[in-house]
Amino acid sequence: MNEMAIRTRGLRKQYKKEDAVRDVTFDVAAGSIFGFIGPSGSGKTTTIRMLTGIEKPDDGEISVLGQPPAKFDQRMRGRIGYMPQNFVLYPDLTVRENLNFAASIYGMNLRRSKEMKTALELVELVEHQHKPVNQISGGMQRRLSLAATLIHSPTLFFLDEPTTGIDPVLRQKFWQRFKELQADGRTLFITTQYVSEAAYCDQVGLLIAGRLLTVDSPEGLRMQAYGGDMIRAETAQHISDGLILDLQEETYVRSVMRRDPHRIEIGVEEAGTDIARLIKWFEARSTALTFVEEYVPSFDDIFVSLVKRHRAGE
Amino acid sequence: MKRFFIRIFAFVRKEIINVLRQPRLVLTLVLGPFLILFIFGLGFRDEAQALRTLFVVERDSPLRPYVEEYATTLGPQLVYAGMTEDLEAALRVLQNQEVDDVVHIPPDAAQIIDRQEQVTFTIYHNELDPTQAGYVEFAMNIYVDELNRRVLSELYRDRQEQATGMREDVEEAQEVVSEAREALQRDDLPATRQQLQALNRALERYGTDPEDQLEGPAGSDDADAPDTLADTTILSQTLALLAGLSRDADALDEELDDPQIEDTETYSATLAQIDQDLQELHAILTTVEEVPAPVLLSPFLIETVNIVPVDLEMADYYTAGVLALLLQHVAITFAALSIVQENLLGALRLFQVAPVSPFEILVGKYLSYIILIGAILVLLTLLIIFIMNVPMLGSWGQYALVALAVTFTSLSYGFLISLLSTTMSQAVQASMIMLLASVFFTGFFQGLDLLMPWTGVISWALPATYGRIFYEQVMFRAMPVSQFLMLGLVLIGGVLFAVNLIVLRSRMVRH
Repeated sequence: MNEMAIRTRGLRKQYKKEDAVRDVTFDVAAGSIFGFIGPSGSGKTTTIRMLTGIEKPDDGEISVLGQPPAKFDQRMRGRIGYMPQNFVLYPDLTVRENLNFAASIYGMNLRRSKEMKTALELVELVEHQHKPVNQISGGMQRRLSLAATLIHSPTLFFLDEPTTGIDPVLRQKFWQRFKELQADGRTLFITTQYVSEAAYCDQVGLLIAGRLLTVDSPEGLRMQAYGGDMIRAETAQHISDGLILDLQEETYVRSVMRRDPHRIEIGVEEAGTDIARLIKWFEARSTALTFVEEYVPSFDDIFVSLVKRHRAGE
Repeated sequence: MKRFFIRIFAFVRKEIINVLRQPRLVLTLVLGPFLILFIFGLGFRDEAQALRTLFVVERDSPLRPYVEEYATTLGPQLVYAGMTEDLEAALRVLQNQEVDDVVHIPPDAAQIIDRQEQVTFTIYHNELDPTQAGYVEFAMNIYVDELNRRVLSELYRDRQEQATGMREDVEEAQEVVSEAREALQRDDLPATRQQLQALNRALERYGTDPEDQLEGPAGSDDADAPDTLADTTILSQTLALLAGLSRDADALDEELDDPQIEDTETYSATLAQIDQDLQELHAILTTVEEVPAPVLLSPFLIETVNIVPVDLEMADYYTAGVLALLLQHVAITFAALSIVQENLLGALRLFQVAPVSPFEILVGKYLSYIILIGAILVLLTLLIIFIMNVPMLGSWGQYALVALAVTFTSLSYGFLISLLSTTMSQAVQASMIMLLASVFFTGFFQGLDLLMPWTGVISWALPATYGRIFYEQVMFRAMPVSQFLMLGLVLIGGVLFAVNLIVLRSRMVRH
């Protein structure tokens, strides 16, 4: 895990004199899953194109598997799997023929039926393998696109929004397969618009308007957003502003957010010990808690929180 | 090395499957050109267009009686559409395209001839197509030539009849001169004079103006009828000679009237000269009688012998050009759409990341289309040879070599179009422009000799020009293709291949 599969320093790319990506610096450890999260147009695809060597950065340094992408030879390219955001499939060819073509351009041995079968099984397209691509659904096409990326067993994957447009069940299967690939020692660089998918990653980079806000583990992001654990509490009585101000004075409390007149969310250092403290604190003020529990905020909330904090900082 | 071939094979297989998945396209490519040629062969009329011709002649023109007679017999390409005196009405009919041309014969034709000038017939036509306009002018010139020949022929036949009468008179004169010479030898001067007077009587009617002795054309009693042979033929010269002889005989007769004559040798020599002149005249008149009018008026005929080893129908001939055009067009279109399609699909980006080189991509695509076009050509050739019975005299090896070279160079053009186009419509437009240029500049419709030399830059840049010439050589002349031209064609293809490789490589490098 210590060896770096990808290293970038101060990456910058301009289109028509406008920054698409600027000052992007991160490392991706070999054998890890790196999630690159950001809204549409934030620069994820531009970054992935620079990493794969399709685009040349205007500034900064890139090292992928120890080499700058501009100097990749054929052997090095064979170690990389790239799944572009848009399908690159030939509509008149069948599912199997498309997969065969992908295997061939990577120079895979012609005796490849076992690998073909495995890839088709993974994306659940065995039954549809003889159908022309123009007769299968968009979700199937994305699955085929993924199979075409996996077929030659690359060391390093660049997957540009692989789960976009597919149903949640299959999305979960994809991530399961990504985890298996990681367990097999592969490195995955995955862009996504689904913030919740950050949970599957070892490291997550948040990209907003071409700038990398932060790179951290999912847990680290939570900490950055809320400073600790989150507790949700409900009371029968109306929660006054004075009560909230008093609560914020407590040393173990990081944040207080009122959701409605009877419900608040409280950021604390350690939920396990601080729930008991809170119950006592409310009892001391003749306010009985009708409900209290630790809750794990979604990555959507974490993402929103971090973005808000970033904008507030700017 | 193994991976190199696997990657090339990937493109070969992909492109072939892609095309074969469109059976209608393949069917169109094979059956389309065949059906066009086949229908053209069945529907082609192997004869020149008949011209519906309206004549404008004055009512009292001496030519009027001849116009219809000649117009209906000159040939199948002139269809007599009637006669009128009103030129403006005739031109309105022409404007309405009810006739193809109008022939205006000037009202004073006879007077013009009398003035010993040529009469000009004005031909009006209404053709937009310059080729067709040329055809009308050409056809009408031929018909006027034929008309002139017929008029002369009739006049000549009339003169032949006169020559017969003159020959009989000359023969009679020869007998009289012979008897006069015998009488002079016997010193029988009275008998000699008697024969000379008989000779004078025989030639008496030639002693006047020779032109008065000749008549107009046969069957014509009209004083205004053309008399173009009056002072130009052998007959008029003959008449002059006869008149001279008549005068000589008369003079001799007068000299013999002198009773003191003792030496008759001088007169004997004069009679011998008259006899010799009569013999010469007889020979001339016999020749005039015997030489047929066509020989005298059209002494030279044409017989053409084509040394091409095969007799070609029009559809057969066009087969070579169609094959060349088809090879070029299909190859350019396939290739032109190929890389644009990959680009629009985003595949080029994928290829940038994958371990596939521009060289492997291009070679794979070239091979796939060469195989596909080869298969289409085989099917089309079978149909052409076995159903249309188009002759194939040369070597099949050469036939295949031509197909390979034309396809290779055309693919090079197609890939260049594809690499320079950003949309499918641009690629299709460029392919169609290549096709249009080929129709005009490859010699498909009209020979390259009809074009200005500088257009050769276009002609010799088009693979179909070479293909048409090569196929004509191989299929219809059984000749090997010109190595020089073949080298030129392959060189163009090779240079374009290198250019394509450079452009594709530049497209696939990082931006």
